[in-house]
Amino acid sequence: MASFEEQTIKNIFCEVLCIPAEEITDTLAYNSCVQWDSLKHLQIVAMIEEKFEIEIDMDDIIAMENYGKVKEILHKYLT
Amino acid sequence: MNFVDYLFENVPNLYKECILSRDGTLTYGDLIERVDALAGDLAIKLGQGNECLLLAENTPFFIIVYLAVIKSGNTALLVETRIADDQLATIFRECHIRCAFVQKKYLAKIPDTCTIFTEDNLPTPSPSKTIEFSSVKDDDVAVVIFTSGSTGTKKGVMLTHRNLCANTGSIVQYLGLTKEDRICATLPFFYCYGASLLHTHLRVGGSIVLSNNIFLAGALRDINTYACTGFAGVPSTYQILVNKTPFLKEPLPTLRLMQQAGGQLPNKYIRQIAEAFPEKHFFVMYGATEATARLSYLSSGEIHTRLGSIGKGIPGVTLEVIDEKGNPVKPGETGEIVASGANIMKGYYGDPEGTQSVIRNGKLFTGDLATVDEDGYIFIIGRAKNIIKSGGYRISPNEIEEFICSLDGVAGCVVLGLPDEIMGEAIVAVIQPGNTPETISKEEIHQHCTKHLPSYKVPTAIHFVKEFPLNASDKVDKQAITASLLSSKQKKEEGG
Repeated sequence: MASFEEQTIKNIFCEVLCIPAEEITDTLAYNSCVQWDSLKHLQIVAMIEEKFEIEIDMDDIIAMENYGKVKEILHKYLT
Repeated sequence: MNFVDYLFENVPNLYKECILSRDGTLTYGDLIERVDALAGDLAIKLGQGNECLLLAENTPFFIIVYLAVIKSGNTALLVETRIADDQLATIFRECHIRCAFVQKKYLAKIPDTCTIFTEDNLPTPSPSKTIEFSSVKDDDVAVVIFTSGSTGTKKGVMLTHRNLCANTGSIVQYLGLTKEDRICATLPFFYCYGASLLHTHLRVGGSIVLSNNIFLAGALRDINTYACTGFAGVPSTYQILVNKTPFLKEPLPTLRLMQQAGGQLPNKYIRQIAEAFPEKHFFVMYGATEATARLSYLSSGEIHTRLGSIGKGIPGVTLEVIDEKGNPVKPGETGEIVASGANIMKGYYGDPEGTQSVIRNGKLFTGDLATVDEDGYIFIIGRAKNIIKSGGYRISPNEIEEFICSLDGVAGCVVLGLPDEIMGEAIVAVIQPGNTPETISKEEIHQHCTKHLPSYKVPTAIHFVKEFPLNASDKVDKQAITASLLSSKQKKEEGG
């Protein structure tokens, strides 16, 4: 298991959603971000799991509805 | 008869919950009041026979606007929320859109040349006003659904009030839906299959749960939270549920039936689901936007004996598999699936030639190749139309091929859909580089694609080849490329 590193998470978001890093703030949310759909979400989760060598619980995958929440949840796994 | 009047013929009582979501509940009374108010407003301001574009996710806003536009005798133009800007621009150029109803989050997509309404500025009901709606003809177009054609341009499928009533009635009948039914809806209503869920459950006085979750597992929760009796998905829906969630181990006690359509779900998944839920009904179905939604079904009792079949025609639809001379094929022979019934579309919007190419003598030529067994059950063996079905989207390879070919350093490109555990089909690009292969890398091609194509059209894998194999008519042999990719994938899996 790797340690928590925000830049890695941000890079995954940039790559999957194709948006610049400065747009990725804690309030970036599934509900309002046009690029972030359920298929992209699966891709984000798969890449995070691979990069950090973790397996995220289903309830957490559902709860990761904004970037701030994603970081908060990943802290739980990586610290 | 106006399709909306048909839908509301069996309202059990006005206090019954109709639309449920995390954001609240609309009773039948609430929904009818809001639909009537907006329809009245549209009838006064626009009159009848106008086109209104609707761009929204599954929300009460979508449902109210959709029904109000149809009720007012106007036509609802449905487009997918992820539509590419240039395709939307084409629709605006070629259609006569009087006003657009757009969910706020998608406002940036809409040109400001027409009147725009969002969820914030819809007219509110005024109790004193009663409006007499002029009647519509059964052949008037109620809805235009824009779907991907094989050439990459969107085709507008024109559905009449008659088409919609016929298909809705037929689906209600074979699924045995009643007012007790409550569907967990994850499929978008701008897609004919999603719309059919809305239609059928309104028609029987049932209810619809808007299950808009970041991850499909949320739908399993919604089924339990809202005590849903029904669920519907395309192949990728079930593949994600089986592979990524505890779906097969969930008891889901309230669930009575599951529907699957929108492409062929591999048999192993059908078997797994049928075995995991022996007491629930699992319907495998087949359809087309050009047929309003549904054309055939295989009931759960037949799943094991006719595994892989799309069943037989739904009530009111004649489904045949015919050979090149127009005669029904014998068991084991291959032919094209042809359908007739009151659900067959009026035609493609602004495209009489396109319409004539698929509707001849009142019959819809689906382009799907199939065979029949001794008892008349139909088995699809290939799609004549060049369409990839990935993640619930219908994607034309031509459009992606054209884009990649336009890049410097690319000599040729073939885009294929390969079987994928999650997406149904994964988009794979096979590229023949120009004379100097080093001028463009796979990464660069991928970057160009992500920048210029909607995300669901971006290839998940890119391969370089020196030469494409050709078939007998000197065309690039897509089947040979597919076979070689599949065999190298298999070797890789066996080796690793």
